[in-house]
Amino acid sequence: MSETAKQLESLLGRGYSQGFVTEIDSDTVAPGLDEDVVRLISRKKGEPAFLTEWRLKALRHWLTMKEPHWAHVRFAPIDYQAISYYSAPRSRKDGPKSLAEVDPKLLETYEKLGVPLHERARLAGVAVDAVFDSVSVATTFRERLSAAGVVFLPFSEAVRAHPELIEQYLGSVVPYTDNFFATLNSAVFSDGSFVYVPKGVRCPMELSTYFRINALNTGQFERTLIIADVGSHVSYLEGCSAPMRDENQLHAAVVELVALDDAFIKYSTVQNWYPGDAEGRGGIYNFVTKRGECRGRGAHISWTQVETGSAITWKYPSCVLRGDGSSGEFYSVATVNNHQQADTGTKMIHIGARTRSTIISKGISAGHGQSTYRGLVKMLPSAHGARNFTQCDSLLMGGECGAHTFPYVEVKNPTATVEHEASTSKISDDQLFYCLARGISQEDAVNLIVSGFCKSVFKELPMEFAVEAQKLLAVSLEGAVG
Amino acid sequence: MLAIRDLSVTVDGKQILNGLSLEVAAGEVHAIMGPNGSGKSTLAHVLAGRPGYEVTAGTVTYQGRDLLALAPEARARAGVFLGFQYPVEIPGVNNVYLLKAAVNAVRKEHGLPEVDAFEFLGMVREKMKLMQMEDGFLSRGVNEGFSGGEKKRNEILQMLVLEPKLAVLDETDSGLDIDALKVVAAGVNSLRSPERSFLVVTHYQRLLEYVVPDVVHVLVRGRIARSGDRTLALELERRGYDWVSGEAA
Amino acid sequence: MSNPLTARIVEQHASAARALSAQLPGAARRRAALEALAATGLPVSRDENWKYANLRPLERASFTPAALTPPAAGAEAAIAAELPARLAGFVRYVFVDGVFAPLLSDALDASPARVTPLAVRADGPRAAPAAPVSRRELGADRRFALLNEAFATDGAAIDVPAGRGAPCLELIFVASAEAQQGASYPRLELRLEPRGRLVLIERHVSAGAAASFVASAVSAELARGAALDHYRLQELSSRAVLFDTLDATLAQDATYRLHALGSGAAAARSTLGVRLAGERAALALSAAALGDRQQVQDTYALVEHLAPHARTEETFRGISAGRARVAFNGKIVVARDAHGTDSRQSLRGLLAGPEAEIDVRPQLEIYNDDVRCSHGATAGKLDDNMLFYLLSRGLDRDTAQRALKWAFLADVIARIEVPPLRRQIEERFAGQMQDGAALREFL
Repeated sequence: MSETAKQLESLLGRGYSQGFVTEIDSDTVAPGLDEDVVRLISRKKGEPAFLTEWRLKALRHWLTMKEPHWAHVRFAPIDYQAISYYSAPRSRKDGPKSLAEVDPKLLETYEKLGVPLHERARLAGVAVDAVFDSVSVATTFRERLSAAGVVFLPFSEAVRAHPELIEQYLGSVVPYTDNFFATLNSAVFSDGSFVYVPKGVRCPMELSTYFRINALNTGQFERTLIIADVGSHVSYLEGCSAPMRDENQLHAAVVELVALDDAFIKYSTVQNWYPGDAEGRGGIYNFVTKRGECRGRGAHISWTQVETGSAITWKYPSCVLRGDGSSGEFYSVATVNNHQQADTGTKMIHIGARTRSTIISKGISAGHGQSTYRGLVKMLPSAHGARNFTQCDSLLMGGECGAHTFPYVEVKNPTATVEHEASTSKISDDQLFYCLARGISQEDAVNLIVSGFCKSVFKELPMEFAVEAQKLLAVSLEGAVG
Repeated sequence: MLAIRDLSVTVDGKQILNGLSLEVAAGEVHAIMGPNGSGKSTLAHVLAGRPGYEVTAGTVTYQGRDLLALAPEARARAGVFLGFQYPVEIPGVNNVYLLKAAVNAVRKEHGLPEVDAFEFLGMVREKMKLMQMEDGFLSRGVNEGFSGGEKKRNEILQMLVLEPKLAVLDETDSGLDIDALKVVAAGVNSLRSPERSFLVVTHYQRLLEYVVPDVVHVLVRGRIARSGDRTLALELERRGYDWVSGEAA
Repeated sequence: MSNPLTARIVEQHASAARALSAQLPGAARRRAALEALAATGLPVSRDENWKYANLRPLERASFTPAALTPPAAGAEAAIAAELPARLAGFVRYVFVDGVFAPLLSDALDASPARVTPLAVRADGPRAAPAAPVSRRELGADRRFALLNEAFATDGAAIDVPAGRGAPCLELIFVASAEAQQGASYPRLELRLEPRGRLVLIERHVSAGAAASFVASAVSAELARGAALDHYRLQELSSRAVLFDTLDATLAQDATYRLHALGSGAAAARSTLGVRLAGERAALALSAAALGDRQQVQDTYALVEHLAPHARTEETFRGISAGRARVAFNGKIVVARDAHGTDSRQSLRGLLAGPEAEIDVRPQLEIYNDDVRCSHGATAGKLDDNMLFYLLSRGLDRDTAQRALKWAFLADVIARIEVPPLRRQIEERFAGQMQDGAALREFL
């Protein structure tokens, strides 16, 4: 049996291992949303007036909007007045100055999640910002990064340390009017990460944020903003988890990326929010807006995502390819099992000449899961010589699941080229038989074949996380075949 | 016929040909051999004018003219023929249309009237016999659904019909079984004449047993590493490319 | 949902009602259709499957039927002169502004297929079929079929029993009226009995350059083992506007070869719904659309696999030149019970002008794991490798591009199995393309 198969086997029989609750005293704002709550959040964070105003504009706009419902995603209406929009561990006074000041219970929590915050621990090459409910509790490797000129801060701190960058870039890719959930986020976003990589700097290590929802009835509304200045290079990874609860919890994040001339941003996500139980009770509603803009010539933005968790995932990490010769990529694996629903894909908006985009999407459906790829490739009249290649494949396991592919291809420039290929099938009997004939068990064989199916996406992940992603995949598909 | 001097070519910013020089006189057959990635196919494509191949230095003179200044179709009409290693399939454009349009393009260039359709068909059928091709082939789309061997035979048929002055054959032997190889070689040999030159790009010396070259060149890292008569091909077969590559390094 | 457009439809229906009452498909069905339409209104661009259609002409159209009776004898002669050449072996029936024109048509008993003008059948002993022309499956996308049902004045019912050989019919729907003077509502109800076979040409043409408003509706029921070869030619004048709805249901082992060839009209939208309701039913849908100037050619094709082992092969080739928009939205739905489904989609668009637009949407919605479904879509320019190959054989750039543009349509044209019809379509397409004269060398 291969090494991979052994690894996978050892993981079988393991459920959602991150579903524990940390007992910690929290400062939680009473449920409900109005202008006072928004002002309260802004005041708690000591924000400058422009930001408070921006939040209020978003809230006022949000009140005019209707909650969207999509043809292939089903969920009960959310009571937005029953959600608490701010929750922070109380031990934190003015933010820990060092890890020594962080509540040991929190450190333990992240240790359990496999995200040690001690700098000498396993993820030695990775700087981590840990966000617990609404606030950042720790950010590692700050000195080493600041020596390189890289700013990697919790969003709240960045607002105080670099208000001019925030004012210039916040909402410049995802405006506060963008969509229902992005607008809500703009009004109430709590924390998240801020990255600025100066001109010509190659970020010396992987940056990563680990998001954890802990409190009950709390929404998580983080906001991430990454700016890669001319000629810079950065790779960022996001991970997440939540306790197992019977209630659905809302996660409505916004991620904005800005890449200037010749800048390179790689953004990877391993999404493992609590998916709900086998009967579809509980789980996170993961309604996220992620968009990057290649603002400069030759800029590059690459999204990689492995989506195994959440009851419902709704997100389309997208690229606006404005700069001539800029390029965008989207690599995605999305698995749904039990009653999970995933509606994900990307938009590639080609504006500049000679812009390039690549989309590789792999959907795996099992149980009663419904997985949808929804994508738009748009070539505007200015996109001379632009090219896109899209490949989206779906694998079905079992007669009760669904796999759907809804691409839009819109071309308005006669020198642009778009190619889209897609296939949907069940696991090949030939492949299965081949593995069985070599003595591999049915379940291992399935895992092997699924890993192979996803390989072109996994290879885009940073090494440490590729292994993690493989494990998650095996766990999330547990019991899918048999 | 053909004089290449210090030719350097990049593809996607990567240097493939690196100061290559080569001279082919009228009536000669030159073989270009070399390991994978040495630049053999690039040379063939640059001579035919394929877009995406950037000539950064050097000259190519064909019958006294600057070949590189000509558009691909002008090169073809001036008598340069490229036999593709991987001929593209063009469903919907039938073979006989392509042959006729190609012949008429050359005739127009020389101020001649279009071919008589009936005579033309007769002539093409003759050549198809030589290439052992079925009659039904004419009405099929260009290379559409052809096997590898059929595609290569079709390339040679086009060459026989067009009667070029300089034929560049890019790995025409690859993927052919021994019978098909003999047919292809017979086609090439039937066209050999004192006014016509051939540049035969090949990986193995097998084809050269049937199409006997006057000169054999070995291409290594984008330039000619060694030239000799046909015994060089046999020696290469015996000793492998490492022998020349090692020397060149 | 009441808006000015809906209000106008209701008002015009009310004033036409008296004249309509004598016509098919019966007052009750008309009223039901109108009520359904009044409740929802006509589609708007925000609606999921109407994004690419040109709905603006609706603002100026009159919905009152342009004609209740066939054209007078003199007018018929003028129309006859504009009809396409007759095809050997095909029995021809002509409808002018939706009304059967006996003087331009063959005798009703000239074909083994039973052809009945709907207006005639209303008077006769046979009642109109209970099922409305367009069923619920197309949902909100069948609203133009409702419009047809509310206003249609005539049409054809065709019943095809099993028999030796396939009858060959050509139905020509001529639009002659200006949109301000009234709309035409071509209507066709097809029923193929078990093992019935039919070759049907359905043409939509204009008499003169009239800016007509046409809302056509076609239904087809293919019983067990039936086979239908259906050629739909949209060749309306460059000022006409067409909203077309086709709804077909296939029983076990039925085969439907649907060829949709659109090259006319200022704005044409075709909504196709095909249900593969019986085991091993097979659909081959091949569509081609040409757009030039400011034309909009939009097609939405919904194919539903409801039974096991059915097959779909969908091919679309669209060329958009000038400032035209050519769109194809093909959706294949595989239901939970439809195991063994095999479906393929190949949708390709070619941009032949700096301001042209191509939109393609190959969609798959699958609720069963025992399927083989694939789709491919491309949009853009001619293939560089093919172009270089032709150039390397000495063809000049213009000729090479023309050859490839023509070849681009070959996948669809080659499937036309009636040689003289293929010839007519090739001529028509060559004539519609900018370099038409030069294209004739490929015919």
